[in-house]
Amino acid sequence: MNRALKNRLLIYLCLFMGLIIDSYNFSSNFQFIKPSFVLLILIYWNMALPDKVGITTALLFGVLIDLLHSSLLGLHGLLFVLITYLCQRFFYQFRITPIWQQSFLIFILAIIVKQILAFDFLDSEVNRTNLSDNYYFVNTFYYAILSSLSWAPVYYLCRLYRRRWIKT
Amino acid sequence: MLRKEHKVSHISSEAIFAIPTMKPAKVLLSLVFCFLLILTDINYKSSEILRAYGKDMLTPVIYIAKTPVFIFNTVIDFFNTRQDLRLTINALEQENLKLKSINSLMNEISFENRRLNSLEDSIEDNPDDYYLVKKKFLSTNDLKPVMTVSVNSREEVFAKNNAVLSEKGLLGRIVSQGLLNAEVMLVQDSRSLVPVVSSTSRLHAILQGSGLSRLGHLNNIKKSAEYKIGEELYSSGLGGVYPSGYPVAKIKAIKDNPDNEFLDIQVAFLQSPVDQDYFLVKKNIQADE
Repeated sequence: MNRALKNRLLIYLCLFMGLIIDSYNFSSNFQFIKPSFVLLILIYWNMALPDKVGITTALLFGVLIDLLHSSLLGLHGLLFVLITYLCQRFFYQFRITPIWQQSFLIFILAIIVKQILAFDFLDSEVNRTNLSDNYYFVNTFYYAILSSLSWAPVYYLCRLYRRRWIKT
Repeated sequence: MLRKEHKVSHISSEAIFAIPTMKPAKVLLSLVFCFLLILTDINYKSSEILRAYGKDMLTPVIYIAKTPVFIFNTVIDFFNTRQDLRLTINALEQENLKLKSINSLMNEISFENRRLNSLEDSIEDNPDDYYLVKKKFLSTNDLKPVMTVSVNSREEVFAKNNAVLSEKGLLGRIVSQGLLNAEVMLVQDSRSLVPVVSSTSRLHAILQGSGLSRLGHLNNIKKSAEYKIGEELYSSGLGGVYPSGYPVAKIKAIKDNPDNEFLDIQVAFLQSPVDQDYFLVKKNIQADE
């Protein structure tokens, strides 16, 4: 098999594993604050091998997440494309920062993502454009904390996977 | 190294190893595509047709995700002693007793409800109109909670707008149906509107959700309306989407704000899908007709 194709398939496999983890249903309120592993893995591959992961991958997995989470079709796609673009635009700066600083950036990003998901696109509440309330903001904070804490294990596991399997 | 991965400096003629950034035109095109998807979904509700079929495709992923827990539970079950099983049976028997007592309470509510003008509908109730479904996935956005349930494609009775019930009352309605899965919009969803009637004052209203674990509210209630705190709200069946007579919520607070022309009535929902796995779907006779 062509090496480039094999590498691409291995990256897709890694993202697919993230999708499997995301599709696990928790029977508690943890379901609403669990981090999005597809997003974290996508950020990793954009940072590690930006020439191997592109807009199409981001769009594809965004739409899959939309289908899985029953959100507005295209919303996660839009977010993932924007994040992919930002990661690829600034990956030189992002890659050399220490892991704790990367985790902090993930924290900020997770807050923005969760707040965008609270927008009232369907105009269900007349006087509000964002449905977010105190409870949702607390959930957003926990989601961001968990995402930033998950970043280090995701980063090191994906790096191990890349070094073991992906030959450039 | 691939040819596109480096360029040559015009000054020193040395190779510059840089990975080219993605083309802005491609990014713009993708963003436009996403916006088109979003706008189509908002205006024409395109995803309601696609989503359940998309979930059918993702069903293997959901099963793979459940496999480690299933294997773990099977191994634990295998090593369980008879004593453990006896304890489990005792616990289940106790739970069964509690469920029976809840059931008797439901019968009482049902009786009271029948007395209150929904006798005709109750008589039409047929056990064959109810189907058991299992929860597969609950969306992670608690403001717009959507539950995915597994359906049997052989039973062609499932249809859009069929009501979904739990043992405590009305839970939501099917909004999208595929071959193996159906999506349920919960009554707690901020997009959900349920026509309700109060238990004692017999006043009609529209109940709107605000998200899971949050209080819902009654829309556009005149200040002269005489609702009482603690009053239960039942589905009225107006509009023909939800069946009548099922408990939905309880009035938690009534606020009369001077700057608002309507009463602010907050209600607590009686049921939550978070810690439950099985639900009933009721065939909507009116919708079929």
